[in-house]
Amino acid sequence: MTLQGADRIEQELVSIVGEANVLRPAPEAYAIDDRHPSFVVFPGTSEEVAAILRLAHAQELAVVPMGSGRRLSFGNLLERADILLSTRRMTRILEYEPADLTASVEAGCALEAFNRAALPHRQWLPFDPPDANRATLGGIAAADDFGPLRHGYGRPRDSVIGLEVVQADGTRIRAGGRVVKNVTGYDLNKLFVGSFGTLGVLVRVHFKLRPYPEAEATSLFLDSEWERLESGARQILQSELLPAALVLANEEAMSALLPDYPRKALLARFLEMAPAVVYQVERVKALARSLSLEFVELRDEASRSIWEKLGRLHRLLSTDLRLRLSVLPARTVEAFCAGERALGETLARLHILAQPGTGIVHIGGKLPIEDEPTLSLVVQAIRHLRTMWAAHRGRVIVEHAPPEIKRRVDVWGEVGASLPLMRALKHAFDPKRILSPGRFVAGL
Amino acid sequence: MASWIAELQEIVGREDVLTDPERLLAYECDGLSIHKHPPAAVVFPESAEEVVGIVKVLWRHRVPFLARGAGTGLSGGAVAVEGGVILELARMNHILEIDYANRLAVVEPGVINLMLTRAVADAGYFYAPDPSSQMACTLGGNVAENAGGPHCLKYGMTVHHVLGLDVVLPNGEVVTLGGHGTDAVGYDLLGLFVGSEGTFGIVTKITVRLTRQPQAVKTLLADFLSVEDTSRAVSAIIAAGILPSALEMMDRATIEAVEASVYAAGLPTDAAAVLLIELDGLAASVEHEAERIVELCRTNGARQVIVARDEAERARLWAGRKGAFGALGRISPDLMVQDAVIPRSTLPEVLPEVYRIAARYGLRMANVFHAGDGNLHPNICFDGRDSDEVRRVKEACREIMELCVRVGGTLTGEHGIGLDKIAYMPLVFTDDDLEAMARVRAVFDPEGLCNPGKVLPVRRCRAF
Amino acid sequence: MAVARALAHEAEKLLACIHCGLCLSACPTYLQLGDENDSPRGRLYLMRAVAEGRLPMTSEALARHIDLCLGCRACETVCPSGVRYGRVLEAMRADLARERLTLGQRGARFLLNHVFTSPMRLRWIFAPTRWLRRRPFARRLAEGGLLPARLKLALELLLATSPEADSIFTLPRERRPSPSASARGEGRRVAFFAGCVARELFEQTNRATKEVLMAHGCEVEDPPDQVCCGALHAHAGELETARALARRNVRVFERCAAEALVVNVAGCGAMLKEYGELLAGDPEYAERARAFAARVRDISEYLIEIGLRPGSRPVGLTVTYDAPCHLHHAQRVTTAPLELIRRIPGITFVPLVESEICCGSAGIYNLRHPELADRLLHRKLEHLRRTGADVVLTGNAGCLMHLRRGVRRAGLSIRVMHPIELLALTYE
Ligand SMILES: Cc1cc2nc3c(=O)[nH]c(=O)nc-3n(C[C@H](O)[C@H](O)[C@H](O)COP(=O)(O)OP(=O)(O)OC[C@H]3O[C@@H](n4cnc5c(N)ncnc54)[C@H](O)[C@@H]3O)c2cc1C
Ligand code: SF4
Ligand code: SF4
Repeated sequence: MTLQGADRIEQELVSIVGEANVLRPAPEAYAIDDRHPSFVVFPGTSEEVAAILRLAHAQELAVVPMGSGRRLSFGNLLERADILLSTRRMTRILEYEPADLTASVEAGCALEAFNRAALPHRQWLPFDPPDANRATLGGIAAADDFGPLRHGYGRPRDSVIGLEVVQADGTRIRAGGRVVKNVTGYDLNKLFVGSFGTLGVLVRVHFKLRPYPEAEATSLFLDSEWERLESGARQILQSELLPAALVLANEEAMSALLPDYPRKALLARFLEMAPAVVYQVERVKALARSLSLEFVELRDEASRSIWEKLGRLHRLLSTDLRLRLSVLPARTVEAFCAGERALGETLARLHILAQPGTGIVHIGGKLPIEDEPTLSLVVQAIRHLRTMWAAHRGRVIVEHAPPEIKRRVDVWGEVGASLPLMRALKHAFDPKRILSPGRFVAGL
Repeated sequence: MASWIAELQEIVGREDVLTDPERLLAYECDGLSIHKHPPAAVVFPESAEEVVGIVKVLWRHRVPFLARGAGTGLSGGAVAVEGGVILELARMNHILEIDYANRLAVVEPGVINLMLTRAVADAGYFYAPDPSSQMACTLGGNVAENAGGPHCLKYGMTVHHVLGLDVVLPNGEVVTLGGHGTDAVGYDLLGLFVGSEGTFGIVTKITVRLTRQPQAVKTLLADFLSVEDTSRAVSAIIAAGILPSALEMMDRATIEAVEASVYAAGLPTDAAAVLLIELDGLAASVEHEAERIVELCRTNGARQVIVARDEAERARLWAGRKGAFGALGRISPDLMVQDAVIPRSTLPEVLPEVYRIAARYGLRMANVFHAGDGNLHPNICFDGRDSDEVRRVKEACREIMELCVRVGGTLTGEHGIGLDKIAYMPLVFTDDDLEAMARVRAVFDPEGLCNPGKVLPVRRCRAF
Repeated sequence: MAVARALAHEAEKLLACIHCGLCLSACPTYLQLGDENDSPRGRLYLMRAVAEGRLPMTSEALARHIDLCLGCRACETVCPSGVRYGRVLEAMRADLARERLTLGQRGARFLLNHVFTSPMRLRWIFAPTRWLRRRPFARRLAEGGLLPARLKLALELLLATSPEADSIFTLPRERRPSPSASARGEGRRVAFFAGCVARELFEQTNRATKEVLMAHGCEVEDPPDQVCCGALHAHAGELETARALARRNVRVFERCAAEALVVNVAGCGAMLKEYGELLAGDPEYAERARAFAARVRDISEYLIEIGLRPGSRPVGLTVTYDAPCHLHHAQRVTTAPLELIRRIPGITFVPLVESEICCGSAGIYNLRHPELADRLLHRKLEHLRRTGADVVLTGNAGCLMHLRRGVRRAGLSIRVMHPIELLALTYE
């Protein structure tokens, strides 16, 4: 982009969103990995988003949609980043009919704000991605971003019932609708949810809501070895109990979460009718006794707060490398032990959170120093884990890493035989590759 | 004889390629028999390799084709509108793997939905999506239609229970979608494929999630003296933040038909409508919720609310519900089942209007549907030999669709667009929306060979 | 359109099929072949096409797929729309019988119309077979490779009619259990329908039935001039012969003052219960046939009705139950046999998967379509093997033969018996 070119574009952007809503150049806080976008724009409506994309499409400018920016570093290094499109100003709740248990929001609407509005109706969106306190609902949908509640409530993907999307060329389309059950035409929701802003810009999202639980409690099992904790998890999974979240945490994680208990732990969160919570806590207490495990019970606010802290763990421990493993649930413990072995020597403050019910394992830590040998050790460890787990349908994604690492490994790993389809989809929806180019799998 | 027929015979054997027009007759329609289009041939593959072989031959000769499961679909999805070949997958009916530790099962597409639940029942599991046709429909068909069922209110649709698919693309290439138990990376092709109505390729292997049987189940039957009261009770239950595992409604015409059938369940034939409500989960919460539901039904005018005493009574009530559509066949030579969805809060306003539309066209109508998620199934009785009546049925259907869309609803909640509802697509989607869908389809099937003529309306110059 | 005479009467019943497909998975031939044409819905569709003039009566496809139908009527049990498949099928077969006859079919027709109509001729035909089944060389022949396939199969089936060899399963000859004290003096009178083939080949089952009835305080009449029930004829489309047999049986049993007409062969029972419909068009017999049908009871049904009193000798066996189609689907007698079995002292009951699905016997189906019948049998044996039972019980002559032959050939150690035989063993 020439300087004059940039000026012209700035003018056009200003004419779309107003002067106050264009930043040039992007302040440091808006850097994505080591890339600095030329502009940050804050459109206020979907029409404005469409206009921005029409402009970008015509000029072949790379647009990177963002919500709160919480997950901007998730993905491969961008090839280009001209315009950072923030939904910060699009925060309205557009429709909320409690009797339908559905709601429709603008993409920039914050999860917390929405749940505050829904609470009087005893309803909520059961999402708890990392940094949930900052998350926007558009961002959650675009990244299909989940946390431990995935165990009991599924992924955000399973709660999105409709979308409005601005396509790369600025045309707007709708997918799904506002009803909870819908098979009218192809389900394009699925295409956009989890596409990380590489196929279109989500401007409006319809969700189905859940009843807000009457009571909550968290049970903790503590031990110095995994064996009995794993067995506890297995027994809970095979029982009638219905935890909303079930997480194994290592000492490092626990010492940040509950400094009084720096041990290995199994955390089970129960969200239910009050009598059902009481019943479940009693059941797991008995289970802890039978396994001779130390047992701690947290109720209401104490329970909520430990999970909230867990969502911020990577910040508490200033993590700069975070991996997500997805393995068959029965192999969860095996997977994080493998992760621990592969990275334990290299990373400091290695913390592990694993969901034995879904097979999701998060391993995070801090690079003691960003020198060549450390970087190549980390890269080797990632490659090693990938080959090792590929044999068991396992996946290793790098959720967060310094650019130096991203330059050496694809953060997503191998896609497999369906890559040509994905390439063709990208081409069908963004032929000029202006939407977050390079960010997605295989650098799409 | 076309040369591709000989090639198909080579793959599956002479016996397993039907070309005799008399034997193709039974393949001219599916569960919705008003659309009749005989295929040019039917083949019976018995393995994924045979499917690949067949598809490659057809791709090479540019012969259109489609998969068929049990043919219980209700949108004309398994019908060869453009001729071509039907791949009947009923013989690929093996359960390949059951893995309780990871709560999943791997099956071939021809496995019947209920057979899977039966196979895992003793171990304390079930397969959650339970279309009313579950005793006959196949999991392949379920995947293609993203089938729902009464218990989808709580457990979600097929798409929420499918963990992986092996798919033969229209050009004969094989891809794996989803991780078969782990998260795949990249676009959610698995989610996109489920519900694509057989137009993206042919599923040859499915990994599904198994769900643990709940500790407690309670089934309630509430009967009402007016349809309005019944709908209000439904809205009240949802608004109260209770999510039953199923919340089904049957009106009087349906009750009468069920009670006259082999699935008679002891429903009150003098009620205007009944709600069949099921709660499941932990005993402690089920008890509590049941009490609140009884109360909500009462305050909304229920005459009586009874609780199924035992498993046998519960099974009887459900058999009655699941046989309801078929039972309506007794009171009418032909039946048009509609499938529309509305926001649940609009039920008390929409349902009476639906009856009024039928009355205006002089048609008999019975409603039996998934009230809890606003998924209407108006069943219109008619005699296909009476052309004026057929015309009135079509017009009434259109009005009903328009009504549902007007209140924020949509065209189909589980049966799919298929052949039947293509004409209504522009009611909910703009040209741009449809064009985006057409782009996705072209990614999977650039030549338009796989189940052509379904889902997307065709415009003069471009197909979408 | 000159065809579809009988079918025309059933046209309304054809229309009742709304093409929902719920019957598909109940149909044994569909489960095996996966062809819509071999499903109830598909067969009805073909028949409807004939009725609508879209398919000629002489259609190859029609003949083939109607012929492959077992007539097990599992489809009726599940059909929510109440399609009377059995009736429609019989009508269709009657029409087909008129339209086309192959040489083999002609032979079968001769047998049906001239041999099975007369107890004397039947006895005459079956005498050598009874002799044969006791000869050791017969077994060797059946096991060897000399006989043509179909003959060999027939011989195997015949051998399978001989009672289970093991002595604990054999009733001592000429035993007469005395009615229990409470049963005595109740003075129930029942008539026994002995069946044509059963009388000739299943002496032991018949004897057990009578003994059990006596133990329940019943006086049992067995009219010697009763004839074949006509089921084989009706199923083959020989409706006129079936009606003639029915009339005769109606006359014979009208002379018995019995409160019930007890039958121990499911296939016969199903036919007898349908005499009312079979003779509905005959003004002289319509009412009488309905009265006759109303008295018919399967033995299990009857015993449960009057209050089952098993003997006190425990049998100490693990047993399972395979429901005969003509009991389960045609007569809808589903719980009585299970209740009877569960109350036999010393029983451990294990359920059989797919017990309501046809074993492939289906009258003389196994002789006409041995390959498909064998596939169904194989499926059944697999399920049987998994039960680990000592004994499988089933209340139909054809099923007993077919299963016994299968079990023996597969080398399973499981015994195949009529439930009533096991019950009879419990009386001292
Ligand atoms: C009485 C009755 C009740 C019903 N109740 C419900 C209900 O409660 N909920 C509900 O959702 N539906 C219901 N249905 C509709 C129907 O049963 C479902 O749509 C079912 O999923 C169809 O399965 P099938 O095996 O019969 O598929 P088919 O009808 O044979 O095929 C349906 C579609 O799937 C495609 N297909 C089949 N197999 C494959 C494969 N392996 N790969 C790719 N495409 C394939 C076909 O091409 C076709 O487009 C009901 C139907 C009836 C008759
Ligand atoms: S179940 Fe009955 S109505 Fe449905 S297809 Fe079968 S015969 Fe027809
Ligand atoms: S009678 Fe038996 S074999 Fe014949 S169609 Fe019905 S279920 Fe199938």
